[in-house]
Amino acid sequence: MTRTRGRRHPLWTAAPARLLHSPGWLLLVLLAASLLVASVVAPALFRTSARTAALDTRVETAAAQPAPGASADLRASWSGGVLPTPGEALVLERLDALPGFRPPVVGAAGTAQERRLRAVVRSGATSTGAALFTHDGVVEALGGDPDDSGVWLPTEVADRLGVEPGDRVRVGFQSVSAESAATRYVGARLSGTYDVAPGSVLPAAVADQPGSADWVLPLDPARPGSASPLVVTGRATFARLARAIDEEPLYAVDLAVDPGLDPDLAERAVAALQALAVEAFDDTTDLARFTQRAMPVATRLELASGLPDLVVEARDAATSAEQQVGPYATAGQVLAAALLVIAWVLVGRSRRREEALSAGLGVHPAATGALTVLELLPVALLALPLGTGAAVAAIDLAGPPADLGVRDLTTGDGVLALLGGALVLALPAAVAVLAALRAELGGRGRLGARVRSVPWGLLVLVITALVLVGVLSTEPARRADSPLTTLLPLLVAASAAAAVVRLAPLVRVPGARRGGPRWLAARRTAGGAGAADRGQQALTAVLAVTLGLFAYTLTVQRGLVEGADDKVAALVGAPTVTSFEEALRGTGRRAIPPPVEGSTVVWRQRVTLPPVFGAQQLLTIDPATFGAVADWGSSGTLERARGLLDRLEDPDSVGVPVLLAGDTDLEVGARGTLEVNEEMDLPYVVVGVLPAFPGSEAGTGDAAVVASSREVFPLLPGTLDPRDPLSVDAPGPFTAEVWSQAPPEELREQLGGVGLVPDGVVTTAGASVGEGLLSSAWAAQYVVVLGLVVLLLALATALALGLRLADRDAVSDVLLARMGWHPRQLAAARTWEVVRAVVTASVATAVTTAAMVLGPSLVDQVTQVLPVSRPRLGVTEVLAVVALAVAMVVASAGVGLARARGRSSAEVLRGNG
Amino acid sequence: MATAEVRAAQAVEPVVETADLTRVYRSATGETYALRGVDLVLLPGSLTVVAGPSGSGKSSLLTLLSARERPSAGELRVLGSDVAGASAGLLRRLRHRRIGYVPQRASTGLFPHLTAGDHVRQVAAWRGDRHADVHAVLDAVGLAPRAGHRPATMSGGEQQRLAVAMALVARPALVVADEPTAELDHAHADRVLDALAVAAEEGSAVVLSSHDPRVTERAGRLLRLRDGVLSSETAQSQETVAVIDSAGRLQLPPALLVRFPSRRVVVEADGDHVRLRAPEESG
Repeated sequence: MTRTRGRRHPLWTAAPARLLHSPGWLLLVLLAASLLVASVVAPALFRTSARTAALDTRVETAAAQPAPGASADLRASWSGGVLPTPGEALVLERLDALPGFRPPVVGAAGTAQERRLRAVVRSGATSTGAALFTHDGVVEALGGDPDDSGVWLPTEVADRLGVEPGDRVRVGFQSVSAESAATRYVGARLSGTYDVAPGSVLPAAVADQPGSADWVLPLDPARPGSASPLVVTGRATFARLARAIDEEPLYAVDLAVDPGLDPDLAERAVAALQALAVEAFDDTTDLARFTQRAMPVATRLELASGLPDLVVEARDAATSAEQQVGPYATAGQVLAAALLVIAWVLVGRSRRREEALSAGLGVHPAATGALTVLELLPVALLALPLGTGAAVAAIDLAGPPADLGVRDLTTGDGVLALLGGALVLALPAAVAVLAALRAELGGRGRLGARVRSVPWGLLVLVITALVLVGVLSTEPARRADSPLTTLLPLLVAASAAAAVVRLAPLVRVPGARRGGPRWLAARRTAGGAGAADRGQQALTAVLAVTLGLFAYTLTVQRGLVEGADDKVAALVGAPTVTSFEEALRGTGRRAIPPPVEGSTVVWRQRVTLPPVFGAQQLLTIDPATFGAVADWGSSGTLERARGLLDRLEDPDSVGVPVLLAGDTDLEVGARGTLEVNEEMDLPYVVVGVLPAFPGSEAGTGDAAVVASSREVFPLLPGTLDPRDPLSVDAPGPFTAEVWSQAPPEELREQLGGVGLVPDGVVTTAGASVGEGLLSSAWAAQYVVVLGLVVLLLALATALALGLRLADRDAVSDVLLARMGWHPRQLAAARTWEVVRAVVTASVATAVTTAAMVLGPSLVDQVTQVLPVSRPRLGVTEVLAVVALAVAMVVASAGVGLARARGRSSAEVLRGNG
Repeated sequence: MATAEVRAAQAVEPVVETADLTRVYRSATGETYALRGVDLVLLPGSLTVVAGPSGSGKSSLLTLLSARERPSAGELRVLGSDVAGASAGLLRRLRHRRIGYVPQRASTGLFPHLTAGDHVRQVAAWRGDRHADVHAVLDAVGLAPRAGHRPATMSGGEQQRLAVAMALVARPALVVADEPTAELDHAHADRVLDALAVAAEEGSAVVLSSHDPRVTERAGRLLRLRDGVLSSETAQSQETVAVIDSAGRLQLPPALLVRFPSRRVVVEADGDHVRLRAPEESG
């Protein structure tokens, strides 16, 4: 007798390859497992991406700021003296070693800033004002050698002095007082001459270099606000000449921020900057000692960079983004886990007899769980890279605009992926253990025991009502962060599903031909009873919940994106807003037109609008130009105001026509008196009440007043009227803003062309970082990913419904086929049932969507800025839901058809089907 | 001789003992009594067949005897353990190591990814039989050539025989088979019955249910169930005895029952006999 040899515990050794025998289940489980891993890893990747994007955005917007030290670039400077040669080398070495910055570029200029000090260049008896200047690369651009000991003069200056290259000139520094005038000169060879750029003192050869506008230039004492002609030298020659004439130069070393700056590098850069700044003022260090030995005046190294502030702001923005995304991330994890659990429950349903066999053979439930772990181990191992890759791709595509790649994964991300993998093993194992326990325990059938059915529908309704009360009693500002708020959409969807599924059987659709597929479907639906029917109802309810949640995610995504746009518009007003404290004033009582084409002027003032106490914004605008320049958001909420601009100018109106934007109890037609700057009263009449207005800056409980400058200014006294030049000296003057659609650089250039230098520049991009609105837009993108998970969940449920119906009809289909029914008719009958279930789910979805869109907003996380963001429904969302409903029908009917076709009638009748 | 058998039986520890065994199934619409007061003793080495019409409670009885469910009332001791009061772990260990069970329509209860040989080998491992002769076990039910095949490539009958092989491997103390020949042709049914008989000869207590007269003919002991009540018992001596349960109830076969249309009976003791007769019609 031969003995069959083989593995001793084949159930265990075969487990890892088991799912390969059922590729359909393998794909479903692998998909669910990958999504779960992705949902666990994604929040951390989102954090990384948000930090990077926030920093990039902040660095980019700060570059447009006119104030020095506001951008991320570093300017290290010292003034009053030339450092000893080793000292300068040490400073440059330390600066060069700073992480996060490109190599230093040195520039220096004489600082004859007072009328008693004057830098000159002289030849023979002729002298003219000109100051020493050096900047890395300039001598080379003039065709010279940076180590050349000579100087370069503007052609005009050389001509005036009557010198040519090769001649000797004297560079001097005059000290003038009431009693005397002392000048120190040092001789230098004229190495060359150069043509200056128009409107500048810089050589034409370098004037168009990036950043040349920020080079330090010597001021001309004779012409304040403009620069002196330049005596251009190499760096070493500058130091030698400056020492010789006791010049007190200003050195500026510029370090551009590294274009590849990431949040970690930025943190290191800030730490190094702060350490260097401390060292510069610590006299025990070589750095401080060298700067103290500068000649002729001891000096200190000073560092100016906006990077520390930008890093803090970016960190805050990232934290805000993380907080805003938190509820969606949690929901995504729960849904992904639910998808995996549902997938494994479906797998378990297909193995019910096998479960009974295992229980009969006394297999321990823990062993069943361990077998499940073994079976899913390859899936988990595959899901780790797939899920992590999916998370990277999803965050890269739909998350913050940072270039996220696999290289950005950290050890922490790896640990999270492993945690996701552990969940992939643990959740199905728990499902398997529970199923094994249920199969093992069986029905005990104690005498006298009663069967109690749980009223799930009523229970869900009651819980929904309780949670709704909890949400509504939460302060609106904290509502979005509440776990109850995360739960409420699911409960509303479940309640709607429970109610609609309960009512659906009462609806009878007439017109079905007797003996046709629809008639059969109706008979089967009406004839259902007991556990099978309840199971089908439960699946229909789950379909309704998933479809409802899918619709909700779409409306939330749209609401958050459009809400963020609206808030940015309400906060800033236009793509680029430049502000002027004093520069923009009129010359008399005449209208001040927009200074450059394509702009509008907006004046701001604080007013009191009784009965509300406290200052509120008064925006006086030019209605004629305002509409075309202002940012009107994207939801249409602000757009309503556009049509009301004409009402702001009514010559027959008694009182200034005003629009109120924000939270107010006043209504159209209300009249009253505004108190402007606490010194004069202005009668008004309300011609429109709006939730927000471009630039209104109103928050919850606050309202801004919008009026036409043509109506307001003539009523003001001269001390307040911005058209009057004297209003500059009045307390609390109007501040002026020039709004434009042009990018900030372009607007600054345009304004510079008319002699206006703004005191501040605000862009929509910069403002959105600061107020957490950018984060809000990112959170919206996360909701898209969440919607995809829900979509898969919905499709999985549709598949389950299809399988269930096909299994239910297995025997009856065989019998009906033998009675003459065509398989196509049987499939059509089942499809009608699926259609009915999906239509029922769609009705529940409509109820859910209406409740969530029309009810109080649960999604606004930036309540400090109005208008309120709320879920919004558009044609795209409706089409997407309809498309999913159709896909559900197709998937459900298709899988049912495939299951039915795969059976042999003999096997079905024998009970194996 | 009969006395000697009784003495021998008393000397051997019963594999199964029941007293007033009752099983009730609950549903939303009420309770259904599957078994009412069954008293039974199964000894090692016995081959017992439970017969009865559909719905008489055969499967319920066998499910209880295999320690897969607990009784609703009454006593049930399997291999010395009180099934009603035993822990789930103890019952699981019993099923795991000492009870072989062939469920009704066993063909659907197999592991689809294991071969026939793997099925037998795995159960042998669970029952602690390191040296189980898998080939011999499969050969006993005519499946040796199919050892390397998975259930999907086997016929329903082959799957049924595989389930029987799994129940018999490693000689469990109790073998419970619910209609093990239902899907088999005569030749294979005989082969399966032979294998079950061999198991009984080797000391296992074998109990199976069936409608098949060829199966009941081979029973060492035939129990008939009707409406959840054990109505009669036929031993190999071919003498059929009616069963009086622990409450004193006696179930008459239908052929006798028609003699008592009023469902009333007069019981008369007459020496060693007890006589039943219909009451005289009054008036």
